[in-house]
Amino acid sequence: MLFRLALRRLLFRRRSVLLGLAPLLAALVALIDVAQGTTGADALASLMEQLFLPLVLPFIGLVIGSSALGEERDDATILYLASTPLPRLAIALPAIAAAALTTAVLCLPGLVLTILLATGDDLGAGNAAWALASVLAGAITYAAVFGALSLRVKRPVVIGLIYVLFWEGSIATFAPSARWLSLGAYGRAVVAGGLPSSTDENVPAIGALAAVLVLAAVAAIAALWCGRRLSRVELP
Amino acid sequence: MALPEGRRLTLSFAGVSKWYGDTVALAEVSFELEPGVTGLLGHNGAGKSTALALCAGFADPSTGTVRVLGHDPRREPEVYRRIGIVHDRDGLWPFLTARELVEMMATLRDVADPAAAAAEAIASVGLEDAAERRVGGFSKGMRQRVKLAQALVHSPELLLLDEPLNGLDPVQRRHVVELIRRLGTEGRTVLVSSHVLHEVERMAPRVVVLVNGRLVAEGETGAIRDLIRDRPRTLRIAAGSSAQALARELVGEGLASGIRLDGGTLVVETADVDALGRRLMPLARDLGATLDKVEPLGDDLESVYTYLTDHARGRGR
Repeated sequence: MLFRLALRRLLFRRRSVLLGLAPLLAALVALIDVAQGTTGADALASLMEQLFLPLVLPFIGLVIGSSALGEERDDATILYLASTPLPRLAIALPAIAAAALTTAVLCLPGLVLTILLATGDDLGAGNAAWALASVLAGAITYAAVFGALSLRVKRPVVIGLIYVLFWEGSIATFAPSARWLSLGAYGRAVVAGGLPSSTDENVPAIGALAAVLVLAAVAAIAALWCGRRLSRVELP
Repeated sequence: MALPEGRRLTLSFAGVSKWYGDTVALAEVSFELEPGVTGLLGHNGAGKSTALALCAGFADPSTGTVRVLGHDPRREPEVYRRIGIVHDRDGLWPFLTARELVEMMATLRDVADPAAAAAEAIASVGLEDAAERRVGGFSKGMRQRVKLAQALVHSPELLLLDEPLNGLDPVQRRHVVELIRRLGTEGRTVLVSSHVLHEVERMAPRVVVLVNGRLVAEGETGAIRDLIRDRPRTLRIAAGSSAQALARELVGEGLASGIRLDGGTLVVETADVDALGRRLMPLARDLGATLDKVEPLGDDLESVYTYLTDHARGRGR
């Protein structure tokens, strides 16, 4: 019930249409590549590693994830949920799950188009599956992490945007020391591990599956923290 | 806590203080509630919402103890099955219909038949005709009634209502006042906050008065009202050239405990404003005086509450 409530709040609103346009940016770049005759698994890996995972996905994850719990606190609807016998974790988890699904759904049309255009004749189930897996794992992690951020600071979008633009989208893509501390780098590690044509060397060298597990662990810790925070924080 | 036989304590505030940084929202407040309606009275910023938030388990006291139905809601959320809360914030999920919202709250509080309970709660606040409309399009008064319906849907033993009459038109106010009184007579404990004494008087036989975070009066609403009504008052009377003569008469008849003459205007302090009101016009007529203006001074809520504070200090509280 709370999952459906959060999904209606996060997904079915005008903002979603605008956010859904962001992943089409990657598809547009893929289209330009097609026009220049650059297609194949390596083109897909390049688009995922340089545009989709470091910028598009975290941006959407930030807007949706920080709304999952922060918006409920700001508009005081969380007070209704807090005045029920539900454990606080049971309030936090559906909101995070809905944010993850919303982020994934908003990314999906642009992602599918990007995969189709970028791979061209080289479209294989493996290519598509690893690209989808990296986005799904990233969506879950960003929903939980930015959900937690929204319960900790007053302006989660501003702080999150600084993190996305300067860390995920910039420093973590070239600085070797940053690769272990970047969520986006683990997302790129999924693509790098799954697509042999990847040339991204600035990712944790742990393989695709291990990268998914790291992202899942971060998401679990952030979600648990949200539940704990909700039971301790003073509500408006 | 040992209680006299027959007493059923539902809420207790014991030496509760709450501060935010340097700001003291509540200072050493203690009171206990039993079944029935109790008004929580105070001016804006007196600490009413803070007190209710502490009762609701939305905040921790800085010092002291809050027990609700024998539990600490902050650590024992199961007690929310027995508490209904109307808070002062206006947020509701705008895409839900009134019925969906109230039914959802019933389900979350483990009500056996949420649909039937929601229908009954919505009917009790007179919102049946709008039940299938989205709350995003509701007026302030309708939203207020949805908030009340969700607080009633699980038939709670304790209701915490923060300014529940805000935004209601006179007909709706009458309806909600009647509903709150009925809840009290049914044996529920209702704590209802307001900054308007006569509003509280209509629904609560007992009142707790907060001023600047301190409890300054507590007891039967009628006694508090009498205390406020009988307090010394100050009036400004513009009597032109007859001001001096009028002053002499007022003092002579013992109607004024102090008078200051400022040109043609008198500032009169009186312990019995009713008697002064009855005699003022006859005296002016006898003197051939024209009264251009008669106005009370310091009759705003702040002054009333300040008087109660001073009165409480006088009693050594």
